[in-house]
Amino acid sequence: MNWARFLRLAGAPNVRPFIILAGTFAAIAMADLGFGTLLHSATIFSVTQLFATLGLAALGLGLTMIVDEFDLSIPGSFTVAGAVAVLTGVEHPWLGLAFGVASGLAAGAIQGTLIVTLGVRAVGLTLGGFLTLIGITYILTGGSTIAYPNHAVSSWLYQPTFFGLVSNRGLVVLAIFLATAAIMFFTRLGRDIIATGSNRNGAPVAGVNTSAIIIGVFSAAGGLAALGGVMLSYSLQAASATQLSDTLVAAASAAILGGVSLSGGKGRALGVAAGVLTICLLRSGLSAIGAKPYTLEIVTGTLLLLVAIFDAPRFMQQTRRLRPRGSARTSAQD
Amino acid sequence: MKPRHVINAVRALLLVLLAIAMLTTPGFFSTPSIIATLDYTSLIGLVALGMAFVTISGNIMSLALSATMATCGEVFLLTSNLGMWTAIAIALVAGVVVTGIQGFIIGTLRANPIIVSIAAFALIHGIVSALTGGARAYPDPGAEYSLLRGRIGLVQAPLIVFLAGTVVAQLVLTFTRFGRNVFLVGSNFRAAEAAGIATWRTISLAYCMAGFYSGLAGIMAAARYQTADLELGAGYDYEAIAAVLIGGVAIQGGMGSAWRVFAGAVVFAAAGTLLVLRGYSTEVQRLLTGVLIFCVICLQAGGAKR
Repeated sequence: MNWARFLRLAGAPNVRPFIILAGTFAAIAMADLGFGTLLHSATIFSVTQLFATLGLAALGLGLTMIVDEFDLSIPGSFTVAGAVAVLTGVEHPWLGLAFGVASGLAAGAIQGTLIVTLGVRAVGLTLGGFLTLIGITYILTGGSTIAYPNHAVSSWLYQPTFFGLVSNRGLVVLAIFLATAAIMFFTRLGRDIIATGSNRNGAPVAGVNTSAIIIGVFSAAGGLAALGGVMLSYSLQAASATQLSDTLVAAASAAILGGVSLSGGKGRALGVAAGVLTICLLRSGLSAIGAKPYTLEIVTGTLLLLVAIFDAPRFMQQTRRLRPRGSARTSAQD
Repeated sequence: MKPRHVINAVRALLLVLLAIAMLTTPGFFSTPSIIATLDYTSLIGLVALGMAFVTISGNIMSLALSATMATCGEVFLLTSNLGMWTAIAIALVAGVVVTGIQGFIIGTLRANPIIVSIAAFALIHGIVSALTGGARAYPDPGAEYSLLRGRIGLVQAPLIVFLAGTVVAQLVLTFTRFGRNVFLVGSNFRAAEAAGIATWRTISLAYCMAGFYSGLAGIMAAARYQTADLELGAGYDYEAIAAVLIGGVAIQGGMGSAWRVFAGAVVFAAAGTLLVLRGYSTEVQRLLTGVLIFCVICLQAGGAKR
């Protein structure tokens, strides 16, 4: 069998995330055989809770990757919004939510505007943004964990529904994923976002306002991550600057496993959802079957590295070069 | 006025402000403060020199150098019973191999450098914890490496290593074919390829240099603290890229020098000491690092655009 062609079929961005999700599930279920902990509703609930925590940050990061950028400040918006909401939303949770999301929107809008007006790549700029936001969170929280004493909000967010498989928080996140998928699939906005990511110089010829799209995508990414952060802080009844410091690794892995191309222009919201579920399944599943904590790091790292290799612009070129041994080597290689 | 002049003016203004702050902050020129600053400069600076090879070669930054640094520190302590020089060699080889593999993947496949480094960070953490069982590394009781902890007046061993490392890096960048290729690959990858440069080899070697310098930082830090774990280099990725950018190395690649990195590390460490002496918490320091990176990148971009 022509394995390169098989790989290409299985690796089609629309299909790959779901194959990886199913494979992960099968692998953990095999390791779990005889214990039966994986299909316990408590395990599934913990998977969907993790999904609710990571989902929006991964979706935001994925959106910036679709327009061929990479927003390192996503965990910063996530963290700062949680702190802002906890500080302002004790009496009026909606007000806290508004302030929290607004802080993420503002962080994204400022960075997006600078990226467009100065013509810089996002990675460096958002690294600065990330450290600034974390610094602001440290100052807001005084370097410690601040409590959120509104039990009504946290118990509503935590409330298991749908046969106890998912919390209200998880349902909100799922609804946002579906809405984003609909926007990306059915509206002109969605096509403009894809066009901007595919060819930023060519898209304006087709009437796409790429500057507005990029500013909008960064604002949306900041706002989505912030919403995730606010709901997490409300749900945990606490906020701190060190909360979920590994959000970036998880969100990046989820977006990439979800079929978002690193070279831009490709990616679907539901694919990202599948990617997030894969990461959550790995985390909860591995701990449920009693694997050591480092197993998760090794598995996540390997998956991320494999997808980075698979997604690399020259992967196909190099594998083709390997087949006719020696003959196809070009001078650029020597 | 040319943008270059604006940037130089801003730079001069910041240096004057820094000098005023140094002179007006009581205790900055005391011996313990200077020793602490120079020590911090050396460790940050060594990682920053490694980071500069990654940045100049057009690969922005690596988020795995801190993990490499910690790993090399652990390897050095765990092999210290074999003698100091052998342990140093083994630790450096470990650093070069671990980082070189990333460079090979990035160079041959054009894989995304940020993602590869994030994956490498997770893999290094996972594999090292699996191998050590998460335990701290301590030196062999009979191990002799006091040379690495030596001090002549205000000049300590890490500073000497950093100074020598800066000179070597500058010589490599200026006088070797590899060094010139790093600039060419970083400033225009396609042109470099068209010119017949084996870009994969240049990028792999640039990452090997990054691993080498991170390894040096890890060894010096482990020798100083006499223990090492994976938290040894925590945060050094951010501080190193801050030093690289403050020194004026271009984030988009193709421009920079070891001297600039040296200056950036000194300024960054001095600013950190000033904040500590003035009673600001590490939180403020982190905020300042972020704002500095933000401003430097905006300045660089503004200068390049006009």
